[in-house]
Amino acid sequence: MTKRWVFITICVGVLGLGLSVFYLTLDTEQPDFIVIEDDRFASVHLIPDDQTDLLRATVLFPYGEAHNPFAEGLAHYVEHLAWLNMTQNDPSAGVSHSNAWTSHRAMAYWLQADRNTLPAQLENLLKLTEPITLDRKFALEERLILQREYDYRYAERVLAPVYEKLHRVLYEDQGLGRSVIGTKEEIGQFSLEQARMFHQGTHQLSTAHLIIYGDISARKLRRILSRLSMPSSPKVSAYPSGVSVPDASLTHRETQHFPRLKRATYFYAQLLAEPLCDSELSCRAALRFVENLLTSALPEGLAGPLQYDAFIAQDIRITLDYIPDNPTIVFQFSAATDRGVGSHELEQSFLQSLSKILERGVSQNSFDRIKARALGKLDLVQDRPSFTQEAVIDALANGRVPVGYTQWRQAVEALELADIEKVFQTLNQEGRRVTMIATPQDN
Amino acid sequence: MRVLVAFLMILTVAACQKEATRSVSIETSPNGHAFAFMPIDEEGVTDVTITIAWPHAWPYDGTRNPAVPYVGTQLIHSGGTEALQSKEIGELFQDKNAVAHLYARADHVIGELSFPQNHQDIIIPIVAELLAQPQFEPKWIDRIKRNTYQNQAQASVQTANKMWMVGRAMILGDSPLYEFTSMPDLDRLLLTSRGHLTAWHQETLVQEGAVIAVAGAITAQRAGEAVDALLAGLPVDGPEIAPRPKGNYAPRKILLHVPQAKKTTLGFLGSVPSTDQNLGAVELLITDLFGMADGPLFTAIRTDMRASYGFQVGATNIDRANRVMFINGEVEPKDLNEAVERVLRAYDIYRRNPDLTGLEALKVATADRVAKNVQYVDVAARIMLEAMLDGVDPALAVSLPQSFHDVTEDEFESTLRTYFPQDLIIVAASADATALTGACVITKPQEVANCP
Repeated sequence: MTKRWVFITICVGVLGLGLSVFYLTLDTEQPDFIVIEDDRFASVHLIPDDQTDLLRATVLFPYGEAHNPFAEGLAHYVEHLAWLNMTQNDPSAGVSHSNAWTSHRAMAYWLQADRNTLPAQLENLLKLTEPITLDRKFALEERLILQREYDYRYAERVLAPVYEKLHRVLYEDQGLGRSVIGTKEEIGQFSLEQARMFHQGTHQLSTAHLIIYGDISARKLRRILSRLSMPSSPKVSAYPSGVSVPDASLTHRETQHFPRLKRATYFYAQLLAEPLCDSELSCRAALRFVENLLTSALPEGLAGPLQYDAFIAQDIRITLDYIPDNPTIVFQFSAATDRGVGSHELEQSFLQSLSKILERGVSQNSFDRIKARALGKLDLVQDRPSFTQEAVIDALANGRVPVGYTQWRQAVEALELADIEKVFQTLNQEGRRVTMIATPQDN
Repeated sequence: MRVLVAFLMILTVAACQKEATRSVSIETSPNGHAFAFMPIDEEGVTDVTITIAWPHAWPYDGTRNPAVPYVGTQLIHSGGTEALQSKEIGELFQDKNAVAHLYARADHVIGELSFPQNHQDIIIPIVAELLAQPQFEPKWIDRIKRNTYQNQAQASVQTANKMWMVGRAMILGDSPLYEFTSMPDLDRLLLTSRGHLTAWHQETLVQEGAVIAVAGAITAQRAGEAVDALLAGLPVDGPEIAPRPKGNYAPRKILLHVPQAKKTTLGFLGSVPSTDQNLGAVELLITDLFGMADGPLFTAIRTDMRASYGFQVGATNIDRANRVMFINGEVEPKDLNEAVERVLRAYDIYRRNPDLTGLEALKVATADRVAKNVQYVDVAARIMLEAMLDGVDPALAVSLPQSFHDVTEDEFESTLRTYFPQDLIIVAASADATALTGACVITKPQEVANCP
């Protein structure tokens, strides 16, 4: 009898140990995201997070202002109409009118849910593909709302026209060079019929990316998806989703005066061919690395000569972005002049400093420091599911392959000095460049 | 039996790893400084945040230059030490993934320092020296005050900022606190001298009266050592802090005429209880329920009137004695009168008899969002600090998410009726001087004193 109890106890103990180990392992090996196969949609990504009680469901259509053949800003109007169209039939779905956004390449909408309401909320999001049947008067009045949104976001941003002109010239007045918000005058003239057409060509199930975030298993989500009541949306030809990027050489330089501006601001933007990266991901990791390097006060950075060794510039911003379509790098620099410094001096200092930095190349010491910083920063990320959610949505919104926290960290870890040197060589090319200088009236 | 016990222990350990609980205690450093302490021993948490609030009297003293705290906090933050230039400190902090902020509010100067726990012995001595012996180099003083002047001048051309300046003038009158919060005379930035900065520094960054919170991957012992190191070089005695005056919230209607304004902004202000009344959760739910999409304000102004993209609603401190609720947005000048009427009507109905249909869902969503946010080490430290400044238990940093769930409908309604003002201050700014019927029209904030 005693031996039997010892045997049972040992078995229970071993089983328990095994379960505990399995449980612990399960917990630490959760993937950043899971791709769920569903050929009704362009993609379905699940980002599991067991630290939140609520779920967030996002639908993203990979079309934005860059694909709009009509008046500038119409894509944003379509976003408003699509949302109103969905909530007019189910007011309980609309939690917030700010649950949507439009960019050059995407229109996205999201709703919060719990496990019980997720099916209904997913069905609501899919109803965004249904034809717009809003009352005509109400739909046209929405243009007034957009004009007020323009006031809220842009009306008194002194430098907004400069950004707009910079991108218009850089992208030859098309695609990525269009204004997402439009102008107040154009907004007031938006055509409802054109909005309906653009909506039909862009808001289709087959082009929709679903992103589900929260505490739900892939198995449960598959079951929910399989039981969804699908909207009846007419099939029309979808717009092509890529964007074209001009490759003609250009050097454009322009100065604009603004009476309400208190200090001169300098903008520089350049389109460059991709630096022969091994992959899109390694390219992006290298670009982010160089951004951090150029922003620093290390010998390969611009902060030293422009902000510390001499007081030339303030509010320096540097971005290096990747356009995957015909792989292109977008290098942008902006800064305001420091006290007593003119825009010409800032420009000269920037160009000369950049030239010297690119010529000297990157030291191993600086490479090691920037890499350690990047990995250290990633190690401090507490909420990795949220990081992954943002990264996945950002990737889908910009025509890139989604990656999560782990893949991103691996890409940063895999960077070598040679990858950074390739980016430096790219920055040394001529490329297509635009310079805009905004000055106070009498400067 | 032993195997069973071992099995249970393993399960317990596994469960603990998944669901860590936090607690807050009040500790005392070796040198006798009390601080709120939240140790966080959780997977993935390796950083520490120390935050300190120094009460300062400067903004309430009309004999002082109100610009000095703004310049001073930036200079300490940007300056170097005896051994390290500013540039070198910046790069060292980047290497160690450390972040430091120092900024001035009306009642306090707030310092916040975050760093990975294994870099404590490098970061703390540097920050301690920056705090105790700021260089205040003349070329940096000149740079900071002129750049701050330019930035403030740029911000002040925004119509909304001009409107809020009028709002503060209506509440605070011609007072030192108005001068500090609104900086109506930007030239005072340029008049900041090294003498001003030294005097401000000596009387503000002191040991006495400092309120401290520490959270993160650190023991109480090490936290105490860090606190002592940060404060050790500072003077002991602090300023006398006078009681804070309460503002004037009498309902009035004023329009600021801004001929070059590209938009018309409308604002409403009213007094709500200060944060030491611990109404934070219910106050947030009240303002959110009022202002959310398909809520009463949204319905009145956007859905029905079609006059605005959206109005914001919230509450904020001018200082801790003056907490205001605000409602604001943009409308066309021709819609201003009707917008005022609709907002006031919606608010009045809401205040007396709110529709609580969406309240439960809002409570759940808010609690979930807050629960996520307070997981961050720096957020937890900030909540503890603010709680202590209100005389509230800093364990609020643990209980805060639950406090939203605990709000009952009765509490919601009674708080609204009892504490949210019946009548509001109305302020607008527009290029159209005739847009607001019955308003006292002014062209500068200081003209508020001429209005009835």
